[in-house]
Amino acid sequence: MFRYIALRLLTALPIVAFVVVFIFLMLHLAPGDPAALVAGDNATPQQLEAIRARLHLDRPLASQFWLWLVQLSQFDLGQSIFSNQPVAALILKRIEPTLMLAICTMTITVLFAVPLGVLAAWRSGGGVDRFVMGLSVVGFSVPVFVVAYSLVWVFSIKLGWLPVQGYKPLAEGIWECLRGLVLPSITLSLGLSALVARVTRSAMLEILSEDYMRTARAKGAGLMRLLVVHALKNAGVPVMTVVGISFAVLLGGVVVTESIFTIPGIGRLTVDAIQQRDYPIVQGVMLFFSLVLIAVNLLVDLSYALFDPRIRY
Amino acid sequence: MSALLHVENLSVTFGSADRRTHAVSDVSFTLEAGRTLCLVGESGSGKSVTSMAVMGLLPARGATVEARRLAFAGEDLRTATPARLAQLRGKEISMIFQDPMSSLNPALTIGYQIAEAVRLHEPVSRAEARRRALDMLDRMRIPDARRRLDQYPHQMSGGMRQRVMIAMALACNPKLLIADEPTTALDVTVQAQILSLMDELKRDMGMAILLITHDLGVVAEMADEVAVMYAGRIVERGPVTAVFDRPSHGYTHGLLGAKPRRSSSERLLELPGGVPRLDRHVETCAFAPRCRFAETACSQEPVAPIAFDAGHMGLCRRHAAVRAAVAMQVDHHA
Ligand SMILES: Nc1ncnc2c1ncn2[C@@H]1O[C@H](COP(=O)(O)OP(=O)(O)O)[C@@H](O)[C@H]1O
Ligand SMILES: [Mg+2]
Repeated sequence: MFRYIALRLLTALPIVAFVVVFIFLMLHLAPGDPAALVAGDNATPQQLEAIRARLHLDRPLASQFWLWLVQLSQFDLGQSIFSNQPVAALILKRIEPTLMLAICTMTITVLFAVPLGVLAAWRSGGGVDRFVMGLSVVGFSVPVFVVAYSLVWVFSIKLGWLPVQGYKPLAEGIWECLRGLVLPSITLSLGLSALVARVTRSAMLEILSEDYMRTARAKGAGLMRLLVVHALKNAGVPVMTVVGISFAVLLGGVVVTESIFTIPGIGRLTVDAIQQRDYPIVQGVMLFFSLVLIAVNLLVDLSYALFDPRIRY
Repeated sequence: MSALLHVENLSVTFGSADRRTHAVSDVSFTLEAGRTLCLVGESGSGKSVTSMAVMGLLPARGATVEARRLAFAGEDLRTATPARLAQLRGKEISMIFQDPMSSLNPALTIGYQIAEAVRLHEPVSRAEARRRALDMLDRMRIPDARRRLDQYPHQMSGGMRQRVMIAMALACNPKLLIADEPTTALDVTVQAQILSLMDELKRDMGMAILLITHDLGVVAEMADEVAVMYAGRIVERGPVTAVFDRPSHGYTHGLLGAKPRRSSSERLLELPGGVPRLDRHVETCAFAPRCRFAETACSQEPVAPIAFDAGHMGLCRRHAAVRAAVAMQVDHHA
């Protein structure tokens, strides 16, 4: 097991290296002067010069890359052009809301979508199955902001049950914090739930027709036991995979959702940084998201062994 | 007198009006405690569907089960609630399936799967159920049983898995064991071991066995009674000696004639000719087109059950000709 983790970490290294190189080159891959790209159209020559100096754009590419690597090795992602604060510190400050939003969303998604997929498979063609189909149509085709504003209109403005927007930190009490996260989490989990429910459904559909399910029925196992103990455990690998993929999709959704609900998380930081052309922050956030995704991928891989005993590391 | 299992005029169809399969038609048999009934016939003749109907394992949607009587120990299985059926399954009636490779859950340990069978029906602790599982494995003569408990199916051979299936099926001392081709997937030595194990348990526990098989060698060894199925019907049924010595149906005659010598593979050989279609209900003899004894009436007039001697019956208007041919063959060999 530990050997496998070590091995998997090693194979993740080339991916990390690729991500680092790609993020470094991002600015240089675009046509034109990188400094002008960062500074914007109306920059004066002095401003351009300042930016070149700050981002070391005046040096040869190789030496720029070397400087960036040295920085990274010290967990230094550079400073914001706008506020001069260290990017790493900015990200850390914004992590809590995003992390809370991600946890809530994934919890809602898994608790809602997995049972839904199981029931849809058990009675395929029935009511739950059609609901899952409907959810997919809505989840995949209605834009996030439409869902978000509809929910806000009903639950915050008409019914007044939940806050319209904003984020209360955990330090101010867990319930206050969660109340603010209900609508953004539901918004985000809608599309993800459709995805997870569909994959759960198709995995379960196959499993329910397996011979060992017949054996379990012949033993006298009840419905819950059949579905949860005998079938769902076998669906663990595809379900975990799609949950991992959902997490990746979620990180994309976080950016939009945080803006709509004015949650001061990393997504919000990203949007602001892009608007202000705060290039070091954009770079830092991208690197951060990439590393999180690589880590999630690794965890998903490791979880396979929990569900399928034939997988041994 | 009430038999343990009483099946009367059982019919099973699949699909709806436009695409219907008459998988089982008018099947009747009884099975007493401590006896073995073998169900034989070529594949597709409705043996598995018959046994699944008894277990109540056919899909609720898609399968239509009708019977004048379907009773276990005097209890009507047709009107039993799903909860009652779940109580009976695994406790009173157990089943082992043809393919041991796919019939065990790959994600659960052997020990869990056997202990589960116990815990579903008896209020015992986890530890006690595990002890019972270990006990069953020992009785199945699985070497190193304690270690096996924590293994998964993929770590075991086919023969071992079938023993596990039997251990699971017998964990609650059922009154009736239904075994659907339990040894077809196994090699000959393992097959003999498993069958003698089943026979031993039947004698020790007074259990009844409904054994489905392809293999006339197995029938000769295991059966008290035999029922021959063709195209969803029992075409001949009776004590094993009567059916083997005095076959009274053209199909049985063909099967016995096609039986290879005991030394070679004892698989039932398929007879020449096409497999009958099951898409409509037929009252005439479905075997007539392939039967060497057939006359015109066979495929034109309905055939009714005929009782020969004690417990021996058949669905063949040419039974006299079949018997005469058998008698001549016997003379010829003598
Ligand atoms: N679930 C099902 N749906 C439709 N047809 C089925 C189903 N199960 C069995 N059948 C049909 O019923 C007939 C009898 O099958 P079966 O009892 O499995 O035969 P045997 O066990 O004698 O080989 C076959 O024609 C088969 O195609
Ligand atoms: Mg079969």
